[in-house]
Amino acid sequence: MSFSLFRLALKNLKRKSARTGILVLSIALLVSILVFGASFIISVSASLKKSINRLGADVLVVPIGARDFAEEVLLETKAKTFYMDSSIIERVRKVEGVAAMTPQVYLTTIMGVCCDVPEAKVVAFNQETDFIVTPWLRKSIGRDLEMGEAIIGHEANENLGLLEMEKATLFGSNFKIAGVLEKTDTGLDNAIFISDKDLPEVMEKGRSPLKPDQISLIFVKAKEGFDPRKVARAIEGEIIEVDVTYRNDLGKGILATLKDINRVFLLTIGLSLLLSIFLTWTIFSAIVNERMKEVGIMRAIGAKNRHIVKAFVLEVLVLGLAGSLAGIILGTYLSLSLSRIFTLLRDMGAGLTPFERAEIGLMGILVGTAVCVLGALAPILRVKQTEPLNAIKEA
Amino acid sequence: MPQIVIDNTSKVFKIEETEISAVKDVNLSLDKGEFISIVGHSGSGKTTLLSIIGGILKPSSGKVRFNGTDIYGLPEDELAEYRAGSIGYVFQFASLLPVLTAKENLLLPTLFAPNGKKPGTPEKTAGEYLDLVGLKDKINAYPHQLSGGQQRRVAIARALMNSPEALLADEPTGDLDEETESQVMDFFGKVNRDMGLTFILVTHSTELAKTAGRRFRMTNGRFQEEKPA
Repeated sequence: MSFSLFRLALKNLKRKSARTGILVLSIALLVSILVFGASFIISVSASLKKSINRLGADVLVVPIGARDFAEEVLLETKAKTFYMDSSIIERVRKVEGVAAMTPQVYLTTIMGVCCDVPEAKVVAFNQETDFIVTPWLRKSIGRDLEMGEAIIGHEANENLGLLEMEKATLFGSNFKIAGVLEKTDTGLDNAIFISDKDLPEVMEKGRSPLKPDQISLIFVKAKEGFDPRKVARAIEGEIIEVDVTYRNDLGKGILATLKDINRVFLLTIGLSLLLSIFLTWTIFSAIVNERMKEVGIMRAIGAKNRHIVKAFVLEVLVLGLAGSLAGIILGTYLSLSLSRIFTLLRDMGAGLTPFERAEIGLMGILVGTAVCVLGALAPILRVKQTEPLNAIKEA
Repeated sequence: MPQIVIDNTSKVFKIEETEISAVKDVNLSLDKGEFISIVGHSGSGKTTLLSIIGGILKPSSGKVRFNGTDIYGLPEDELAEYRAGSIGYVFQFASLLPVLTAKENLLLPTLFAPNGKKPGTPEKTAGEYLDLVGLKDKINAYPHQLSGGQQRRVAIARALMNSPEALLADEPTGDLDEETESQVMDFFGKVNRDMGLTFILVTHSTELAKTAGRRFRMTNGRFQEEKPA
């Protein structure tokens, strides 16, 4: 490497490697908190948005009091059971503005019951009316499910490895595995899907709390020109046994929790930011004092102010970049390795896209570097204002 | 036209309420290629005057002209260019950057050289100057690996890197043994003669001062030319 101010900056950083290490570590910790926090918030909120958009329904009709359970099934990985009478389907059909609708039934296998897939979220759907699962099903196997067949959600297959086993026992009945659905980034990725025509056999075996003529929820599409929110209100007004959720209101509870988490992260990051700026300022004040004589010599042999500032700024940038990169690696590692500890991350499932990770990384680099520059700015400007001989004498 | 003109120049330092006149109404005119020495006791103002000529200490009053230009009337960047390209300065104290090798210390001023002053092949020039001061084998040595005399010689070589028009040396042989002092002084004489550099030597040694063409003495900030006996 030919000699340059950059080389001088690198050599100066090596001069006191412990001090340089402390500064890099402080920036790395700050950036890792930032990357972890941003990954958490973006991952959960993006997953929520994707889930809602991919459901393909305008309105959800659920048994009264089961609104939260429905959200947990559809948006998170949780398995919940809740039922209402199937006669509600016909009553919903009569409401003005309803274009299409399809029911689903949710079941959960019980852990420890012989031969059943343990704790599986099972979704029975009506293939004649369905517009939720069928598009994914067609993409995956190119046909409808036969009786006695099941198709597995992407994550359920990852967790249970059912495709390799070719069959699965659910509620005492054997199902042939027809395939695996593409990843939808919804809570349904964790489910096993069967046709509702198989439900009578499931109920016959008596291992499910489901009774004949029961369904869990109804997905409703509004007619073109009708406001889905008004359709939702109309259904709720006419059928008192149900709760109705407009699509855009889904996940409000999760979003509120997310906002609180976001505030905690922002506060933590803000405080860490101040601490890092203060640490950088302290360390660079010491560095500038130590090197005052050298600065004076450099100026005496012809360095302009901008050369001096550049030499220090290069040091700051190297520190900021090194700290930021270490922080990005640490933060990404934490967000991946701790995702199973945090309920929201675990339940919302979806990871970040490479583009989202790149965006977070870029933000980490910008913040890490900006913190270094802000902290070092005042000491560097002090050097700039000192006359060469005074700088030499001050030392 | 003289190369260096110092016109009624004074420097007063203010320490709290006390004013100390380090340099008092100095007048001096030097032609290109002249070799002068300035002698005087410690605190007589020699270093202050040399710093003023070197563009690193602004005088309280008076003017310093180099090739007709009032150097302290220049904008900050142009004054820096004067220091980088027109003057080579050898400090009284160890002035090498400790994190840089001998060669890198020589290359440092080339980063600040104004257009036309930077050596075409800085690395080669640095090698040649280190060879000239007898330190070719120390090219990659750090200052702490060099003796005081060797450090001084590296600093002298550094002062020549941007082909200055004048060389200012403040007690350049202060911590050298007799043999090295003689080598360094021969080197200065050679530089003065062969390269045509104006050379201002500040020393407390009357013997060394005698090697100059013109000799000046500073006493309590007053500047006076000494006529040869």
